[in-house]
Amino acid sequence: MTKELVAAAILILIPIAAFINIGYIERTTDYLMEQIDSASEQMLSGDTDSASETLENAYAEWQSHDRYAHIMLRHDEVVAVSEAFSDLRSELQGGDASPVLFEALRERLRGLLEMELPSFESVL
Amino acid sequence: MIVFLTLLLAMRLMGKRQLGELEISELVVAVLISNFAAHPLQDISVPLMNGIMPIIILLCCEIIIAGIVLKSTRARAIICGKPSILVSNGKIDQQQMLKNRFTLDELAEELRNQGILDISTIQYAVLETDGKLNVVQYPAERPVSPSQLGLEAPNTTYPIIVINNGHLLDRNLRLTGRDENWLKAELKRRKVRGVSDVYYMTVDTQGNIYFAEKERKK
Repeated sequence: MTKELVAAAILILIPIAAFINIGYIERTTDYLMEQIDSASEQMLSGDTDSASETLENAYAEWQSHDRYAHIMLRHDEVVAVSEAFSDLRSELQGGDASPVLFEALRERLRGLLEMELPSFESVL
Repeated sequence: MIVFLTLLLAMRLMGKRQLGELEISELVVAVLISNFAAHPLQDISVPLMNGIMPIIILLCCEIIIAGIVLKSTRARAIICGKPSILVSNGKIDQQQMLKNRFTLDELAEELRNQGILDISTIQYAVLETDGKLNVVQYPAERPVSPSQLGLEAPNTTYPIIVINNGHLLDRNLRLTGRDENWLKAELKRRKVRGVSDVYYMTVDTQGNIYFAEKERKK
């Protein structure tokens, strides 16, 4: 009976853990988006150095979640975000960056969260 | 490696019965688990958690279903099905054969596997829920037992392994009610230097010993 109770408890805990995980991704992506928005505004106001620094901070934050990302998230999505960061960083270091690259990075981060959200189709 | 260890643990937790006799629900779980485990191993873009989580969920479901089946006969009948009597008093039940999609060739093959060539010698043939066919022959066709002949059969006891390929199994030795002094004396009597020279040794509770010395390397 203990085995069955433990199994039932795990089955209850898994959806709870899934929602905690979604909350964690949401907080992480929200924070990164705020940083990217700030960097975008700084760049538009002509302060490229601050924009580059803000983006570097955002990238460092993203890198700090690397292990978690590779265990929990699809590797293709993780690589796509890292590549979008790299593209934007290299453009900014050159002194200019297209708003399209900012939007591409935001889109990749939004995609991370959307992939993890449960939907009727994913449950079926 | 992590997926492999998870898989081993899952199969271990599902119990020994899984290995030999799969019920329908167990077979479904075993097939699904092997498929889920293979997925992250084949496709490196799949995260580890996507491989492990379905295995854990299926394992939990299987443990709960097994628990329900153990407690409730009705649930067992629904989930695992019921045994079907294919032959009753020497007569083949054609309805049951059709219902279970069991052909005459399969029936004959199963009977031949059990050394039976004549269906008329069968009292009952039961198709169990795990797909095995259990056959009960008429009493006149069954092997004679010592009690039917009025003979007294000697009691047999279970032989316990005491030495396994040069390793002494202390716990087993204690189970036989003997100690290392007794073992040393036995080995000395057999002109063996020590435990490491013994390949296999069993002792039963009546003191019967099976002994095999290690072959010397040529």
